[in-house]
Amino acid sequence: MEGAAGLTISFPWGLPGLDYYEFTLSLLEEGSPFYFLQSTSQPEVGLLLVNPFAIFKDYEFELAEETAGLLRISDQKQVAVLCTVNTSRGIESATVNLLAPIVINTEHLLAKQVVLNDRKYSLRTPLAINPGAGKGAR
Amino acid sequence: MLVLARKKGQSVMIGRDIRIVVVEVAGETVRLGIEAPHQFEIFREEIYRELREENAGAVTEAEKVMKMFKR
Repeated sequence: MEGAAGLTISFPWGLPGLDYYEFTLSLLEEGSPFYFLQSTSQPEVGLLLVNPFAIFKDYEFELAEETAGLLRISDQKQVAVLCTVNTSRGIESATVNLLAPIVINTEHLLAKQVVLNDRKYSLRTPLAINPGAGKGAR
Repeated sequence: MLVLARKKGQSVMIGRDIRIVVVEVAGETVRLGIEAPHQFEIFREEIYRELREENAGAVTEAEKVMKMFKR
């Protein structure tokens, strides 16, 4: 996943609610699970992302065959998963979207936000962020 | 809106490629089976709406994020 930092990634299907199709993905800080996704056409449009597996140890889902096909995924090594973090209500009230993770093919630089059918995950799961450490904790 | 009555096991075609089947009817709940080409994304409408709102609401600027993490 570290290899996915500083990459230009296309979202051919867009992100629901956003009209942007190409973004730069960069790691926020060395060793951090947080990433920043910035629109290449509109630099003021960005999303804070987090590697969900680094924080939610039980997080898992099965990638649908259709999605893997669309993203031209042939090997698990190509796959990275990041979730959007919403800090609009302040960093103390940050939430992470575990229901609709962003699946990235880091080799072909293609990504898609998928909606899981799993009802145990929410669009707004509380996320404690320790700014000093640059790392999140439950 | 076109309104059609369908029984369990019956279906509706939209164009040549999209088929929606009534799989089960139980009280207030109808289970639908949907066959569509991969380019069509299928969502429960309320979840799609919420996701749009969530994505739009999560948009932030690099500068703000940097400040947040530099505290």
